[in-house]
Order: sequence, then C-alpha cells, then structure tokens
Amino acid sequence: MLVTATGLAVTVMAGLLLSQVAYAGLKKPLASLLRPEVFHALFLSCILATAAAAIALALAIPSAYLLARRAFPGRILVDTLLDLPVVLSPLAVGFSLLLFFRTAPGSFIEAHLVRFVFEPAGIVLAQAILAYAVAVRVLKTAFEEVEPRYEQVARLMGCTPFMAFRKVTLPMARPGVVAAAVLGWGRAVGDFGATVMVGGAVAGKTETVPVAIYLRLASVDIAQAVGLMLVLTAAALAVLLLVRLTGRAP
Amino acid sequence: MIRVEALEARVGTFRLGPANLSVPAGSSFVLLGPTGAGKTLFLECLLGMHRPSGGRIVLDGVDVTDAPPEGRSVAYLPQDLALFPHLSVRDNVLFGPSIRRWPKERWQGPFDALVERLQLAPLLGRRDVRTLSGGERQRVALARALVLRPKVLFLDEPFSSLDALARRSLQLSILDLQREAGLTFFLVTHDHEEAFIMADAMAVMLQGRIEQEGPPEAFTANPASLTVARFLLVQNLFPALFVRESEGLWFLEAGGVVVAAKPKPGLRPRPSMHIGIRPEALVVLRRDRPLAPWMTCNLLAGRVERILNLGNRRYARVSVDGSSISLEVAVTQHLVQDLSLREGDALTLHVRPESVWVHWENGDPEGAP
Repeated sequence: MLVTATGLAVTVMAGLLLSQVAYAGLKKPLASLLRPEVFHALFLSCILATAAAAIALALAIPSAYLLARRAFPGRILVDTLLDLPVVLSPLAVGFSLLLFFRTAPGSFIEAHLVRFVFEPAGIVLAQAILAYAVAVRVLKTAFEEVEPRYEQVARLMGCTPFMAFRKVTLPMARPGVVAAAVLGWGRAVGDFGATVMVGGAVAGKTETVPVAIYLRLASVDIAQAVGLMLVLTAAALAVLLLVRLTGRAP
Repeated sequence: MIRVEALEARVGTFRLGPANLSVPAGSSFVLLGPTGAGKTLFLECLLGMHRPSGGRIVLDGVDVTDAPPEGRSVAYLPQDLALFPHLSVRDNVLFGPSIRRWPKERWQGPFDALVERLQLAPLLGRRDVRTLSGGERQRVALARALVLRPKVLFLDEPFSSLDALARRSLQLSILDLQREAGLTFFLVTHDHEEAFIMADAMAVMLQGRIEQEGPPEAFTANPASLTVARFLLVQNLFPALFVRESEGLWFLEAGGVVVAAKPKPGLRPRPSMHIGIRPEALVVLRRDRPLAPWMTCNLLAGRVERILNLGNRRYARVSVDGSSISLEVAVTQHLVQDLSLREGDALTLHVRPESVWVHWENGDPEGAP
C-alpha cells in the first residue's frame, strides 16, 4: 500500500517532466534558450528572486526570532497575519499591492521615492512578500528548536543579547536559515501571479521566466515555452535537493 | 559574597519568596529542594535571567538586582550543560575570552591550568562536542565556565545525567577544584546525597520559600520545621503525644511505644507533637554483649519485617513490639552477615535521646521556641 501510493506519485511527477520533453523534444527547446530574450528572462528572474529572497530573509530573521522567543499581547494575531501570503493566491497578493499604490501613501512612494508598479522593483517587492511568509515559517521552527539556555549561558559569558543571537542561536539554526533562504528564493523565482500583477508583462523589462512561459504559450511558441519550463524545473529540483542536503526539509 | 534580601518573583501562579540568603565567599553552598520548589527560578533571578518582582541581590558588595546577565561576573553550569554544538571543544572552552576579546596572555594561564586539571588535552582537538561522553562533556563545560575566573559558579543539577561512578568522581573533583581555587560555588539540586556531599553550607527550599539555612549537620540533626523534617527524614517520622518530662528528657508516646527525647533549648512541650529518628541514629544491639552504661532508655524490642537492599546500602525495616510503628535502621552488609539477620528475626534497637528530633506541627505559635 505504502509502496504503491508512493510509486504512483513518483510516476505522476516523472510523467509530468517527461511529457514536456516528449511533446517538443529536447533539441529545439534547448536551442531556444540561447536566444537573447530568453537569456534576459533567465538573468532577470535570478537577479530579482535573489534580491527578493535577501530582503525577505533580512526581515524574516528578526520576525521569526521575535515570534519564537518573546511572548507579547497579540502574538497569535501577528503570527496568523504573517501567514496570509502563504495561503492567499499570489495573484491576490499582487493585486493588493497594486491597490496599495493607488492609495495616498502608495502614490507618495511612487511619486517621490521608488517606482514599483510595472517596474522590476515592484516584482522584487511582490516576490519578497511571498518569500518572507515562507521564510518566517521555516525560521520560527528553527529558532524554537534552539533551547534558550544556550543564549543564557552565552550572556553569562559576556555576550549582549544581539551577540548571543549572532554567535550562538543563528549558527545553531543555520540549517533552518539555509532552508528559509532556498525556499524563499524558490518561491520568488517560480512566482507568476504576483509578479505579473505588479510588474506587468513588459518584454525585456519585467519579463521573468514564468511570465516568459506565459507569453510564449500565448503566442503558441511551444518549443521556447518548454525550454523555459525545463529551466524552471531544473532550478526547482536544485532548490529542493539543496534543502534536503542541508538537512531540513519542511 | 552573595546576599539575597527579601527576594520575590512570580511565574504564572507560582510565587517565590520572600527569600533571604547569605553565602560566604569561598564556600560551596547548596540549595536543596524537591522538583517544583522554585530552585531554578531562584537561580534564574540570581543570574539575571528572570527579573524579580521585589527584593535585592548583592554580589560581592555590588547590587546587581537589575544588572543584565553579562554584567554579573558569574558563571553558570546548567543541567544540560549547553555546550555549543557548532563549536569545537577548544572553541567552546575559549568562547568567553573570545567574546570579551581578551588578549592571549590573559586567558592562556587559566586555560592551561584547567586543561591540565580537568585532563582535557586529548579532547581539545575534537570538532564535535556531541561525540563526547557524559563525563567529558561535564569537564569541558566546567572549563568553559571557569576559564573566565568568575567570582561565583552557579551549578544547576549538573550531575543528574551521569552514572553513579562518574557522578561521584566528578563531585569530588569539583570540590577539590573549588577548595584549591577558593571559588564560591552555588549548587542547586533535589538530590539529598549530592547536597550533603557538596555542601559547606546549605538551604532547603520548599514551595518557593527558604525553610532552613545553615551547616549540613543541622539539617539531619535538627530540622527547623516539620515541613523540612518531612522532606529530609522521610523514613522515621511519627506523630507523638507528650507524656511527661523528667531530668531534662521528654517522654513521648508514638504508636504505642514511649520514646525519650532531649528537646532543643527553648522548645516548649505541646500535647500533640512529632518525633523523627534518622536511620543512622538507630543501633542494633548484639544479644551477646552487655548494654553500655548510657543505654538506660529507648531500648526498642522488635522484629525484622524486611531487609531493603538499595545496592550500595541496606536498611532493616523493624516493627516495634507492642506498637503500630515500624522503624527503618541503616545496617551494613557486615552486620547483616555477622548477626545472620533475616526477616522475622527478633532484635533490640537503641537510639540516644539526643538523636530523637522532636517538633510541633507547623504554624503552632504556642510551640515556637
């Protein structure tokens, strides 16, 4: 029963991968990856997702630590609120961002600080929100698994609270931090809904890999779409494998 | 060295204190109490990990009540030792000096001395502290705590995870270290035996309150209250009725047998009291030998109910003739063999009146000395 169920699931996943190749072959899709616009989409996706994951991680580490260590009124509410982007459709997250930039504070930011709507910065912001929610979940568990006793001992040896966190808790939670970074990056690089809502689908400007796949499918360029899907699949496999190798698969 | 004045703290519905305590410099002080008594909370207040709701903590003449842990110049050896798993043995030991950015000449001396004293040289190259045995982990944690030359070392049940042999060996080794270096130790434990081995002075904490403080001998010979006696003299503690007083001795009846006791000065008799006798204070009299001249009272004839073998020591449980009480008597293996002591055997016990502890019920103002 166990083997049958697992075997069925593995067959379906492998079938999905093979069907991409079976439909368009390997030669054409791989050759299409060398075209400048495809290369640009790949490059843009990597840069934007890396920036989004870095921002998400920088914010998720203190948030997760706060939720893991401190008791404060409304903690459950904050915890639930931070989970929203995990549950909400990325399309809804992106649409909410668009609506925010129509409000007075949003318009002020757009006019005087940074332009987000239909800009790469907007994509970074949308993807960072999605990645942040994933990273907080993973990091909170990682910090909870480190006994506060270690920090207390470090404090008694001369560490300030921040030093105790940096020298003891963070290194001890390292597998969790790596997993959060990798999963956050994976969430960002694979996102379509939030990206297309905030960034639009401006070829050569905000065209990430998922957006490029959508555009190729819309113009019935199957070979290029499959090539991009193969790249995305390879990236996803690499990310998941890295998480397992770091020893913390959620 | 450590002075605690009216310390109070709360966690949920649990209230600690008000607690007063004084620990002299260079002593090995033990705070003994059952699980849930508030010992760890008390320790956390002393270490700055829990903010007290009232009172004062003075360390080496400095009021540290509101000081953060890093500002107290004390070291801490927790129950789980909390060795840092991401650091090697050497980096664990040198964690404190590295955090404080001590120059090498400042830590090298104490580091070398501790490595030699605790036989750490073969362990220093180990990269993963999780591969160390229980005893090795203890030694590494101890070196890490002591390399900073703290004023006080706080230990929270640090031997509980060790087997009996390793525990005793480390207890003695730590005591030697404490006496050689003149360090002040503050050890928290629920283990009676460990407390008496380690203590120059001790205190008993029960339900968040310090019930008694003083030298270890005072606790077994003269528990300050019935509550302390119930915690320490678990075997031979009985309710008793005051019968009469004669030549400085009180005669009390417990379960049908009359026992003579020499009460502590100032204690006034009450009709209803308690007596306690330590198992070590009871002597099994040999049938073939004459009685010593002082054995004029407290000759208790009885029958062996059971011989309890606790591995490293034995107790004979003896039902006293004509009474409803049974006494536990500490006996040696030699004595058991010499007297061919078996269950059902008749024998006579003796206890000196000075060794019979007598007290009133807790909270009885009339009985207060």
